[in-house]
Amino acid sequence: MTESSNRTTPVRRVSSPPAAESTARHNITVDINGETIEAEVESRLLLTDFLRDRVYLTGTHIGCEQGSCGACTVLLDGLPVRSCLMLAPQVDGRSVRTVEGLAAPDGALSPMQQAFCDHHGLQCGFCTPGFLMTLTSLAERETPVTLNELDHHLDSSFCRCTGYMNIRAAARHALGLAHVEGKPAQGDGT
Amino acid sequence: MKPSPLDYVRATSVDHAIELLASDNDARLLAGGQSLMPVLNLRLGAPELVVDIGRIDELRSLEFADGDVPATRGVLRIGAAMTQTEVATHPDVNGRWPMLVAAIAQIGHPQIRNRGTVCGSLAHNDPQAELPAVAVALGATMIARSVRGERSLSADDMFHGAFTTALEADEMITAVEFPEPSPEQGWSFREFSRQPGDFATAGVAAVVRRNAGSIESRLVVFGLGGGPTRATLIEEALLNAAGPDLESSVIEQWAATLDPVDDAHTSARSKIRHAQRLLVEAVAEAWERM
Repeated sequence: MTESSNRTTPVRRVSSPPAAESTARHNITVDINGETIEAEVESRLLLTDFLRDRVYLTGTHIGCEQGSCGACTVLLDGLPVRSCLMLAPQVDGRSVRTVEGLAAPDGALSPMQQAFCDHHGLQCGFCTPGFLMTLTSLAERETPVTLNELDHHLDSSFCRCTGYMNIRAAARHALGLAHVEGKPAQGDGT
Repeated sequence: MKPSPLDYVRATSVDHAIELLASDNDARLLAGGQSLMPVLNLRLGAPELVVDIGRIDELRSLEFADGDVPATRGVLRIGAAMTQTEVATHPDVNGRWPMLVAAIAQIGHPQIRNRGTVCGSLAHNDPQAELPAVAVALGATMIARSVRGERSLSADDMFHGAFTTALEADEMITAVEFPEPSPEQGWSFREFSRQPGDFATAGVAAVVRRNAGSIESRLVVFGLGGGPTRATLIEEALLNAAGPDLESSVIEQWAATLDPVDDAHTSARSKIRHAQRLLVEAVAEAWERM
């Protein structure tokens, strides 16, 4: 997301509700999907809620709010993180990418999104943004991804429509692992 | 849920952070936040002030120093703002501190390790966490700072019971030092969890080495409720052992000293059985690598 520094698009300031608490508020500037966003946020505001309720990027979903389910996964400076386990003031000066940042401006889906469509990798769609962000980080990584590594990344999000095999098929195709032999990795908890 | 109202300050230096810790009794440090944030979201804790140390430059370091005893061994010094991913993916760490890398691979999921820090896990001392056990097994040293000064804490002294350590309320860990394992040292890290990414139901970090005709070992068990605990009965039994096979009577004697509690998923008895099996496997694997 370093290209954002060269952009000439204006900074967008998003509104905040009036202060209801005596605790400190923070002025933050965040690159979100290539756009520079400014906001004043409460100390305790979660990154998830900042994205959804202030920037109106509601593709990032709220599941467990304790880091387990993976629905809120976004990319922070290119790495997948749980946005429910970060405070909005923590991302000041950093770059965040959400599921809204995957498709091209003309609406064309990213290769990973297209693979999810092609392989029926989503049903209700609740877990999908988290899976897409985690898998996009793998797809855009320079070092090759192994099937075993893919499976360990698939472990990191809950799908309650039990669509893991289709999600795995989509990811294998998008990551160029479609023809690699291998059964899904079993839990390595020894 | 959401955190209770709190103040947030991003500390600009270690001095800044320890001043804030000293001035406010209800301050908590936020490094990676992968333990603190769930606590805040679930309102298990409601500190007045959260001090973010995650972007302090002087804590963003990974250093390799020459060790002192013996002269050939190095020391890995991990600053408090280094994430588990950053440590585990460093090529020198992977080759020289394999147990650290193996243990980090078992922590949560990649997204958690991308934020969670090594030092934060040590300071938190979750009884089911991997790194406190690794610190004890490898003989790590924590560097703690407060406005009163700096001190070193050996892993043997650092970890008390669950979520409790030798750190004072106004102290922070600035770094942890892991001595480089000697080449003749065998190691094993094994844990059982109900599914990948879960906390360990039970786990073992084991180090064995030959020294002047006897077998020195550090066998550390975790996940059973308290902090990381050495299996001293087994360590003593191994002293003059010719091989890794342990007498079942010794194992039973050791198992009788364990005191886990039932939880929603696993009975105490089952936890003990897991620990026994993991310990036997870990000793065998470490011996093979010796």
